[in-house]
Amino acid sequence: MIALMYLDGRIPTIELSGVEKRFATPSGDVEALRGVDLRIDSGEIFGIIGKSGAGKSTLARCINLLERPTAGRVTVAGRDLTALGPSALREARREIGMVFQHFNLLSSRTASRNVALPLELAGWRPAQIAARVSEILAFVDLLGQRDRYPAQLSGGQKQRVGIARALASHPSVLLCDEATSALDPQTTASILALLKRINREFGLTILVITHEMGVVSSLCDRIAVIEDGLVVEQGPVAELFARPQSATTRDFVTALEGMGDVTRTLRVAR
Amino acid sequence: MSHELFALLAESFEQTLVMVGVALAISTAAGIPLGVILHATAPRQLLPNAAIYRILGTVVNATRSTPFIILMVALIPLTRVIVGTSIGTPAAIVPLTIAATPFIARIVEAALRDVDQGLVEAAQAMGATPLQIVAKVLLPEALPAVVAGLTLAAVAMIGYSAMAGAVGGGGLGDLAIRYGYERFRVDVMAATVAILIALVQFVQSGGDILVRRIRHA
Ligand SMILES: Nc1ncnc2c1ncn2[C@@H]1O[C@H](COP(=O)(O)OP(=O)(O)OP(=O)(O)O)[C@@H](O)[C@H]1O
Ligand SMILES: [Mg+2]
Repeated sequence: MIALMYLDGRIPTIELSGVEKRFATPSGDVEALRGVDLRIDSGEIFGIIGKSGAGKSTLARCINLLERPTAGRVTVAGRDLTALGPSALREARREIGMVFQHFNLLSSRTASRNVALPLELAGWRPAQIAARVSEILAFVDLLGQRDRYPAQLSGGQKQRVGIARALASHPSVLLCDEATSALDPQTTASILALLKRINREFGLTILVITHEMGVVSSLCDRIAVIEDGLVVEQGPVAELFARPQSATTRDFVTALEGMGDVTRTLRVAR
Repeated sequence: MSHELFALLAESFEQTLVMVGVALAISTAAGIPLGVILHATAPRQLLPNAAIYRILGTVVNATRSTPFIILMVALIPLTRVIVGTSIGTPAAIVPLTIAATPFIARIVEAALRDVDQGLVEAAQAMGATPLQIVAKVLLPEALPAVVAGLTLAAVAMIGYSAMAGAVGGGGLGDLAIRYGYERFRVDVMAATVAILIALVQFVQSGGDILVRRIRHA
């Protein structure tokens, strides 16, 4: 790890260099990412914002190689994922938890067995699995719902199961792609608070992808703004909002001002 | 109803149960892996393989498009090899199984295809192997649809088994033809039809109840 430290003393956990992703479609190629360079440091909450179709999800999926970049390099915790074979890649993915907009819980499994899934896949022993599942369900305050099926849970509870599942195998990185977009404002706030707590207590690096300004303003340390497959600006939240350079950022700030939120954000950031 | 008639009905009923039960068991055991392979090798699925997908698909379609009565006759040489004779209940099991297997394979394939792709992605993000995805995600999630499909297959096979009876396979169909049709025994005909209706009802409601119990959506 020492070797990977930068001069500023921060340790990069996720590094993208020159990441491109081109989709071949019947109606021609789509350039979803056009050379993205990004460095996310260990222990920070990093936000990626952009409009619909900008390439946010593609970027997230390129980090755990659900989508293999057409060009460029993806390094997570010092490992170049793009260079790994299938089996080493599966191993490396256990370092990266992923939380989804639509939860993606198995309807055939109860809350606790959903959380157990990644541990079963990793070949843990039943006793170890049971202990870890109880521990992590207690952390997300779902012990009382452990035997319920997803159909019997509220949206917020489902997302907490999703988060517990993503945390189960002790990852060092959490990818959240629109994790709160299917939830009402109150539930969103509670999920954001949970993510913050995870970041604080476990020191997890969290990448938050969203088109909701409120999410980045209340949660993120730094953000990158993505426009048409390119990172157009990045930096600490307060800086970007105070002096927006790109059209996308200006639009987002305007939207936030509409919500009377930007002053609060700037105050909190100072 | 005479004692003799009752004995005849009981024996035929048992033959039908054996024919359908054994054929259903074997064709399910063969149809599930076949359905999994069809699904997994399809374009953009877990292990895309155009050659395997196309060859298996063609065999499955060919079998499914052959009318059962023709399949039964065409399979007589094979049946002789497998059970040593081409008449009787054990012999009827062979064409019944071969007709049902591709049907079940397609049911399983369709059920797996209907599983939310997001679940497969979630498992991949956790580092699941293709085999783990099949065993821990696809099959459990598709189970209610598979059971509903197997119920459908069982009902269809009860119908086919009656056809198999017509060419000496035993069972209720055989009884209906030998007594009801050839000897004008309306009471036998009515009794077989009643038993078949009850059997189909029983299978269908049993399947429905099972599906309801395993579906948690
Ligand atoms: N599998 C795919 N095949 C073809 N094109 C794709 C595919 N996935 C994404 N794209 C295209 O790539 C571009 C970026 O998509 P992406 O899903 O990353 O956007 P996004 O920023 O996440 O948008 P949203 O906010 O709506 O979720 C879009 O033009 C989209 O149509
Ligand atoms: Mg998206």
